[in-house]
Amino acid sequence: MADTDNIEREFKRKVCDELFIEQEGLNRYIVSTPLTFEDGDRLPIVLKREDERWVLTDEGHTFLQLTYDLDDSDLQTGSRREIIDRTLVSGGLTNRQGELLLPIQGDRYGDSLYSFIQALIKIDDIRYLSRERVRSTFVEDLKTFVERVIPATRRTYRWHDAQRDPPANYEADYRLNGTGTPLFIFALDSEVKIRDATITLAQYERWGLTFDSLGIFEDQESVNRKVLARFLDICGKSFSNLSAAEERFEKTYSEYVKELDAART
Amino acid sequence: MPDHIDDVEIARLISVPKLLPEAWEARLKTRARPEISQKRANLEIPTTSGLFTIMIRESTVNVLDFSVVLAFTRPNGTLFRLRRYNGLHGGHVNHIERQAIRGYHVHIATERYQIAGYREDAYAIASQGFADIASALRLMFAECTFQLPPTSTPSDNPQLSLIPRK
Repeated sequence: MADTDNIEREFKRKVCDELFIEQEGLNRYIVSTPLTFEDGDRLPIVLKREDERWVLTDEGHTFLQLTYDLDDSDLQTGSRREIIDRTLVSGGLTNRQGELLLPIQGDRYGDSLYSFIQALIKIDDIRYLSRERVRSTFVEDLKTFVERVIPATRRTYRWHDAQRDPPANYEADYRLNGTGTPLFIFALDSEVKIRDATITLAQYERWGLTFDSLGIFEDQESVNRKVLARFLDICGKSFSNLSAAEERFEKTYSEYVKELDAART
Repeated sequence: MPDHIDDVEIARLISVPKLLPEAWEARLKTRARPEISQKRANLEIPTTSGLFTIMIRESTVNVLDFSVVLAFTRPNGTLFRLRRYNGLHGGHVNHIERQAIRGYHVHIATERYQIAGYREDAYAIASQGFADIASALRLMFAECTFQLPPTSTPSDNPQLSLIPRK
């Protein structure tokens, strides 16, 4: 039995030798294991003191590297979201705005570490549900911007004229209300979208609607000259990219960014 | 592995001239995603050889944890990561060479790691060539054949430019 004892002892020793922690900051330790994601980066495991207890955290790195391949919406909806939620519950982890945390109960450092490792690997595996192409974040960024500066009561997302256009063939990304004239906003991330916006604005004119219009390009410079010209001929104003819109919108359209007691239009 | 890219093609893609658009600095300004504790930016660079994408990700929990990525869009629409300039997040292991790397490092796409079943950029080298996102971008632009837009002129802005101008 001496050989078995030796093998067991050697095995445990060598496994332990592969695991170490290193202080990096106040009450913060990097836990280093041989385990990595598929790209070779070590699993991000930090042991730190929070609110009188020790927690294991990935400091947001698991989702950060997932978003090379996946959109935010991929992480927040559908089957991926279900897997993430199930994994967190079964491992006792919490998701604090993208940071995965596991409080350590008593001195159960080993159990906690293995649960944490297992959860990170399972969550990372959601990328294999389907290999997604990372789309531009322009539309999401614009949505975030509009929702930040325009009160909810003053905006309608994906507006269409329900009476004249029940199937929503002519849709504006946003309709802003609360003044004598509503403002229609179009998010222009492709030439197809620009052409559709041109047709939609022309139809609104044929219906005799009273409105102002604003096009926000992802990158105006890359648009075909004729497509751009047709759109600019019919649209009231445009911003050549999102940064320009962020800088100038509140000043240019100050009447739309205030809360109102009741919408006027 | 039907869609793997060999080392010759990887080198060619790195050497393809990539012209930055006029407003590239504004479009690479990272925007916060507080719900997942990160800031990010993407910028597509079309070329005659295909579409490249620059991706920037930075953690708002650990500001030293960031990535600047150069990816190429394969014919099937998926992204192939050619280079990835990583900040500090716990280190890296080159599994084939059995090397451990600590600190700032650059992931480099290789054929051998794809054949071995790893991600295309699972090989990395330690780097002292950058320490933050701006310097990582500068290094990537220098190493991966980026070109400034033709109308760029030296700025009177007293702040340092992202790319040193001659």
